[in-house]
Parts: sequence; structure tokens; C-alpha cells
Amino acid sequence: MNSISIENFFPATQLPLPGWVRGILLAMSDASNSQMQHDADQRDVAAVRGGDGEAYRRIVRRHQPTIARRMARFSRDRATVEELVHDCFVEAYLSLRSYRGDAPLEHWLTKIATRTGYRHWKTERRDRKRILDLQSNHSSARMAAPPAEDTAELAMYLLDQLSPRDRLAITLLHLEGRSVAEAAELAGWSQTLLKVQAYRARKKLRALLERQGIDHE
Amino acid sequence: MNELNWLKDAVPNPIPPDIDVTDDVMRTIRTRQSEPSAALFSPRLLLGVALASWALAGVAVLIAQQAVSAFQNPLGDLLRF
Repeated sequence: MNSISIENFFPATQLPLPGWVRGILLAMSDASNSQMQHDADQRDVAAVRGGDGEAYRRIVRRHQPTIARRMARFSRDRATVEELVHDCFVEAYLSLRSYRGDAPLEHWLTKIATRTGYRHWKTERRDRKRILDLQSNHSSARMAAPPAEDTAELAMYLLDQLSPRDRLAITLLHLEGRSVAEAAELAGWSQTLLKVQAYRARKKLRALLERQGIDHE
Repeated sequence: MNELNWLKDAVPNPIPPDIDVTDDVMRTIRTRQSEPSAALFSPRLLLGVALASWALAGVAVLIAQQAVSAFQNPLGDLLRF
């Protein structure tokens, strides 16, 4: 797909452009690229609905980097991310009839990806609980101890301790910095529910940090 | 809000892996399309069919009872019906 970038305007890009001019040109090129992508998506969606399976291949190719980036929030394991991206595109194909075309396809896919990732967290937590139950029936096994030194590992451990709902609220609102409206739309919740969930999640997180003896003040 | 600041600083930025699932997705879609529709045998649908059959059978029994009693006592039972 052809795209208009700042290099198309100025092939050598050695021209001494002031920062604000570069900013305007970059914004123009971004707007133009997203419009071209939207047009290509609409054409391909229409083709898929008309029975052209190969058009869906183009959609997957175009959007899988974005969806992989999204899914990397839900797992740090490469194989799991691959599986989640796969599941997201299969689900999107099966519900393509519900895509109305008034919003960019990328937004619609991101919504499906968020819900697929959330389901993964729920399954993962259920499986972990089942394993822990089994272990506690057979031995005096305890939950894995929190990593003591690595802050990143500790943060991931603490996020794992939250319920999937709490974790989703914290991730969308605070780690990704989305607005309440945007986060609620992605999660498929009402804005009130999201705010309540985020408030409870913050309280639980604070309690977890205090339990670990971490000074977060 | 301090716990959130701590978390934001501590959580590493996710690094998306360089993956290509295109062929897998297309293969799964083709397989799904060649299978008989799963919805046809979904537990919810089967339950619906069972309930509808049970309701229909109940109505049929009631009609039969009324017909029999009407046959036995044409005037009285027909009026009651």
C-alpha cells in the first residue's frame, strides 16, 4: 500500500525544516495514512462479505502488528500472544456481520482484542486457582513467593494478584492512560461500573503494596 | 494516587513480538467453515427444542382430553370448553 510520509514530500529529508513545520507535515501524513487505511479496510470488509476469503488475509496482515501490541499487555509469553492474536482475528471474522463501518476497523478489532485478552486473564486465573487447590490437597504447597528484588517482576506479580476485572480497569485507565469513556467502550462496561471497579482496584493495590512492605508514598 | 505512580514506573512497557498468524487464521477459518455449524448442536438450542416439544406435547394432550370428553358428553363439556 502506498503511503504518504514526510519523506514523500521531501525525499532527501535533509532540508532544514523548523520543528513546527515538521509537526504539521507529520500530522498531515498521519491523517492521510489513516484515511487510506480506512478506505482499504472498507473495501476488504465488503469483499469478505461478498465471499472473497483472501480479502480477510489482507486485513489480518494490515492489523496484526497493532493487535500484537495490544495483546502484549495481556501476556509476556510470545506463544500466548500469538494464540491471542489468532483468536482475536478468528472471532473478528465470525462476527464481521456486526461491524457497521462507522468507526475505523482498527478500533473495532481493538475492542475484540481487549475482550479476548480479558477472557485469557480469567481463564489463566481459574487454571492457577485449580492448580493451587490441587497442590494444597496433596501437599503443603504455598503460592509462589513474590520476587524480592526485581521491581518489574514484583509489579507483574502484584497485578497477577488482582482479579481480572480490577486488572483490566487499572490497565486501561492508568497503565495505558485512556479516558474513562474510551476504557469503558473497550471493556464493554458502563462508565460508572468502570469508575467503581478502578476505585476498588486501587484500594486492593494499595493493600497489596502495604502487605509487601513496599514504600509507595 | 501514589500506588498508581509506583505501578506505572514499575510495569515494563510491553514489547510486542514480531509474529505472523495470517496463515493460521485463514486455516482455522477454512476449517470452521467446512465443519457443520456448531450452533446447530449447541446445548442452548437443544434445550430450547426440548422445552418447545414438551410444551407442544402438553397442549396436544389437553386438546385430546377435551376432544374425548366432548365426545363423551357433547353438550356439557363443549360449553365448558
